[in-house]
Amino acid sequence: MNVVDCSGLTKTFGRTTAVNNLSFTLAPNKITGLIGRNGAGKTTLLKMIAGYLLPNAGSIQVFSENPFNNIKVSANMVFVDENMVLPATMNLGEILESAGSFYAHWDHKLAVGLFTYFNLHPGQYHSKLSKGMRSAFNAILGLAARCPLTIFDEPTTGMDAAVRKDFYRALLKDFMQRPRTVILSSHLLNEINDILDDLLLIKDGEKCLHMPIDELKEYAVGLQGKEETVAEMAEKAEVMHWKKLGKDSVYMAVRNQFAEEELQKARLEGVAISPVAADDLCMYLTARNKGGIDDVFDRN
Amino acid sequence: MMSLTETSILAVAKTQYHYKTKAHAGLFFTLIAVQLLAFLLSLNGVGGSSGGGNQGISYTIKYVTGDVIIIFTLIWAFSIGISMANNGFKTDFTFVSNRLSSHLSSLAFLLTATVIAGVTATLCGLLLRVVMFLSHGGVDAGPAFWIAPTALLSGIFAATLYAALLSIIGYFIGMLTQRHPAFVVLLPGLFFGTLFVEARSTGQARTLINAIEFFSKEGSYALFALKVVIVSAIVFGCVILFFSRMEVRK
Amino acid sequence: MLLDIDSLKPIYVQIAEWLEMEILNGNIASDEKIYSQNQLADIFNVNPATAAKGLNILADEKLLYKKRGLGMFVSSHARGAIRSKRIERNLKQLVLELVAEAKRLDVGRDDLINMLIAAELQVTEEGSSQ
Repeated sequence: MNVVDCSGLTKTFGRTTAVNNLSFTLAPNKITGLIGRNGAGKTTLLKMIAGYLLPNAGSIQVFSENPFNNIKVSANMVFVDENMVLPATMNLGEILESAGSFYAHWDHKLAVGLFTYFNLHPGQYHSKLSKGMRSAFNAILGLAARCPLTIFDEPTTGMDAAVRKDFYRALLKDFMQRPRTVILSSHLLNEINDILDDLLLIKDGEKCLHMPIDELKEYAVGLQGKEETVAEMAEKAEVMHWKKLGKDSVYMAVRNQFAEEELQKARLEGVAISPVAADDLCMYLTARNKGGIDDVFDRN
Repeated sequence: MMSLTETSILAVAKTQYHYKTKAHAGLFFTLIAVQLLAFLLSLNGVGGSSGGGNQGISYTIKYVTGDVIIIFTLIWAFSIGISMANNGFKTDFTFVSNRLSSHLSSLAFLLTATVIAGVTATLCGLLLRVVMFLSHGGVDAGPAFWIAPTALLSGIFAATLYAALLSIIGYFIGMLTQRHPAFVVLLPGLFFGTLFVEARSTGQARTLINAIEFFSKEGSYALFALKVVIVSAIVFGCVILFFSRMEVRK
Repeated sequence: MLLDIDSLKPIYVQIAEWLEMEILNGNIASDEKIYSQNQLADIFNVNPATAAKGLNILADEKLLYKKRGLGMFVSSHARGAIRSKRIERNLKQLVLELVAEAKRLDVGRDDLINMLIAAELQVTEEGSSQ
């Protein structure tokens, strides 16, 4: 049974289409990274999965039910983002207690452990926390709720590098103890790359790529060498990005559809073959044009 | 796969009710503040005082009633209805919730709050009597001073019902403004506009007066209660019906 | 970090190679239990499915065997097999690239062999000084 099943999902706000004809399924107990640039429709998609927003067209099923206004989906789902609305009149300790009363699998020991580790105090108020600390607190709520579907929408906003690292490691460790379906949205793939099972890349509300993260490394290669040699190779493959270097040298990121022998041959011909970092690949795939920002300047 | 939790709307609403009483405990301080203010205003008497003198004896007549306390309490009830609609709905969807459970828990909270408000308002009125009696050194208060326990209970009963009705109307209006911010301007405009136009054309705001008299002129307690319950139920039904497709934007 | 993020090799391949090194170095002996999927995920800070893929590479090559309910164990022939595999794949590949680079730089055969001898001496020295 799939945990999330979307087909032809579309959501518009006035004239802008935030999510456009999106179809995909998420299998249980996997960590999926939802990657896209700002405004790609990540949050809108997640809010439809959470049952907060109604799609304009298409269907969405969570635990085989329509999530909108669905108490069962809500009871098995937690949605963490930087705008979590929490009562200003309750301190953090009281909020943790109350949050625990809502979730069947709530792990209070974990909540308190993380709470202390991240140097939060029960007497503090949510609205008085710094941005990074607030994100840390929200993330603790999301982890300790131990919901079969756990959604983190840009959970590390404002966190410093060390806290981000700790959070992702906490997520991984807790995931291993109690596997569940996690959706993690971010525009920084590098940070979450290693802990993901799958990647869902969206651009302008449309699906760009949905594949196991392990296959992403082999999805593209970077070729650097003489323009004619590289261009010849590029004829057989889909070019995602190109950049001129020096006089007749060029760098291209292309879809990796080469046999090992072909790459070997190219290497001997002086073409430098490099991996395309997952982050760069996502950037190329979601770029407006193949030359990136350089195109703007090259026109003049 | 982790086993899915089965739950019921009532179970969730109950948890939300506890959450709301904790989160909104501060509202009861505002109730105390409002009633204290009304109490102090009432000490001076309402409706003006008249006085006179005759053969060396001067007298002053002060009308002292608990009406101001009741009116202030009702305004408070109305405003917590709005406040529940504005804050409660957003807060609920941070944790487990659907629209119905959110409304039900808000309703339960409002009813709890209005019972407390009804009791305290009536007792506050009682206190006012005692204070007036003692401060004016009245020796013989006469039989009218004593209130029978049944009358006291019926006072609490009526005050609570009015407060409940107003808080539910407030909740409905609050939800409307959640739906579209234009209602923030539209609703008061409509309300005062009708008052003004009617008052100019007929000299009386008949619609409002009729609406109030629909309840206040009712002689039978049972019928009065029934009217309040039915009207409240209709308004609350509208809340459930109109806002069941409302999106949570957070 | 243990993993080379910039490598063209997928992480699970890198994990498999790390495990091979552990066996080759004798850190894990024959018929000894190898790391579990979750242990590997914890060590490398990666998704357990990725770690499992690394283990499966070794299992597919019969370098590991499964004991029901107990986990994966190192096969008796694993060390030898890893050694010959590494010679066949890695060493020969490295030599090939070495020769290609020497050619690009116009380094003659004798010079190259002298460099190899020098390099071997250096490695032996480093090994003995430790």
